[in-house]
Amino acid sequence: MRKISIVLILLFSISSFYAFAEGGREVQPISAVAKVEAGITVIDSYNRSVTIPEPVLRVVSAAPSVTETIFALGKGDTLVGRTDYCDYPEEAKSIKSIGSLQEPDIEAIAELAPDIVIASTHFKKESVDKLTALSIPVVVLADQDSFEGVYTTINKIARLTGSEDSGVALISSMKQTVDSVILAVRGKKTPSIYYVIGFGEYGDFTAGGDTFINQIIEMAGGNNIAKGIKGWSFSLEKIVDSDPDILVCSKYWNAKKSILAANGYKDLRAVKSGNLFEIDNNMLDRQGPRLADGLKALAEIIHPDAF
Amino acid sequence: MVFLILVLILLSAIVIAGSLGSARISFPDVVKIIASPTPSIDDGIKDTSRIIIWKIRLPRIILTVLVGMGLGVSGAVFQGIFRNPMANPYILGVSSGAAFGVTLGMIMGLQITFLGIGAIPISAFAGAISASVVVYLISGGGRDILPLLLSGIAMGFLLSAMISLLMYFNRSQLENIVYWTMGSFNAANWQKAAITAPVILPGSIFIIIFARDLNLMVLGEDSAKSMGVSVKKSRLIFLLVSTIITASAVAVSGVIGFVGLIVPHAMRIITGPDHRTLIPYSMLGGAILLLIADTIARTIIAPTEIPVGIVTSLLGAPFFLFLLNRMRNPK
Repeated sequence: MRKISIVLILLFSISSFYAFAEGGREVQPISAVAKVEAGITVIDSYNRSVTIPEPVLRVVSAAPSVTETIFALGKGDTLVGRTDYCDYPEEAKSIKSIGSLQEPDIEAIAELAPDIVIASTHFKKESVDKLTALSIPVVVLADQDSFEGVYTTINKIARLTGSEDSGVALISSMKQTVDSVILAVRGKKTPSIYYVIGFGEYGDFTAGGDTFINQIIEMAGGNNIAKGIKGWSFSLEKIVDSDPDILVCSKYWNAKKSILAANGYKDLRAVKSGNLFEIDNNMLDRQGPRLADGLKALAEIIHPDAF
Repeated sequence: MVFLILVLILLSAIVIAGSLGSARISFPDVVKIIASPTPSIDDGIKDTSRIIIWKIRLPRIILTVLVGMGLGVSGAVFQGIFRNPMANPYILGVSSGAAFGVTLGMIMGLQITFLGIGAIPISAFAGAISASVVVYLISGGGRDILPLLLSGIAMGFLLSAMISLLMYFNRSQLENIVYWTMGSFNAANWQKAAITAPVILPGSIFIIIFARDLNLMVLGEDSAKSMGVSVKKSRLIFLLVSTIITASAVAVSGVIGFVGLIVPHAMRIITGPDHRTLIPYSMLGGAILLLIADTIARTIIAPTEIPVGIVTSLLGAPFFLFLLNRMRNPK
């Protein structure tokens, strides 16, 4: 009796393994046909060559920078899905949300039947694989931490949405803004600046020398007091010791008000003399069409006399 | 004797800590700044150095010493009451209650201030006290030790789960919450020191005065009762005072582990089990340990700061192995 039970149990586990294994076998995606296909081909950040059949009429964006780019290219009406964080421009808010950048709701995306999903840096490879298994084309365009990188991404999105002309115009306008800023601050003395990303109970954080924001600060004609560190973590003592000329913080989260009352910060020469300025950090954090505007806003804070 | 040596060690540690930091200020300058709080002309000292010493470093050192004292004392009390070497100040839900309070406060975007203390310490304190009260009530009012312990564990699990749930739906706040729970003194200021000192110092002195009762309770409930100790009442008072001390410590610095656990053990090697000496020694030991840990935390890879809770954990684990070794091979 015992031996028979053992054999039956073994048979059961082996067959249950096969039962579930069958369910996971991939359905061949329609597009994996070995002929030359018509459509738009783009190489994404995972080095995948993705071909999307034209026309692209339904787009899901999985990042705020992508959403802003699509609207800036005049293709906002093709957007059928966006993340919770896509809040610019206003019209984006009325589009259905598909969750967060890192944990997008795959079912919600599938329900929208998009022609393409365009994602950025935080999109996990898992999500890419899941969507591909559902035959939904995904293109991941990760942030490149440079203006050139942003232009390349805008270019690719323009091609995918069939708005190459708008793309060229957008990039050209951004380049103009960047060039005018660099020209305006050239040769001027660079004030020392501290860019506040986090402060107080949760630690003091800023943009270190190896970050993109540090690059932008330097392009805007400023001298980042934290350029000597790598990464984001700084110390209050070091901030006071470096005695920056200017402090820049986010205009959100009541940051300015809190900094004015924060221990250590409130005694900074820059804060006491009214040189704590707010900026829309989304323009700088999102590597999208507003990046050049962000650069200009920062430059105007650092060199008000140049504009 | 040994006590005086410990006091001297603490004082030297304070002085050394005062001269160390991510801002390089020479030792003579530090002494000058402390000696004359108001600047006099031509003393060659930068205003920024003065601000750093008086507004950042000094309050941080004092707060660290206070919290260290509080954790040392309450650790010794908890180990005595539960007669358990693994007991630490957080077993009745103070740490998970505080973390839950902070998570809730953060997500609701609380902006209250009270006596110069912001929303985070207030929500932490409220959470810590509430959780402890609930644990006390559901365990049947502290009549027996085991239900108390089990309720504390259950509360810990429950609150951890709720914190995880809240964090899952508020991803943007996740890093902030995790950072706070690791424990750090980077946001130390005079207001925090001013509000914890009147809780931790008198509370610790109170416990020292009644340490004899704690000695008797360690002998066992029946023995204690027969010696005239009203066990239930004493236990409640000791737990209450220790919980308030721990809650205020956690409110201003996050959850710093191992101090409340290691320090009483380390001091017991010197003083033996008599709480009349163990408690004062644990006070000093806690202050010294935490001060050293925090100084390491803010200088070792300056200007980056490591949360002090991580440093204490790194120090705590090897020490525990050392203790274990000692237990298995008594000399």
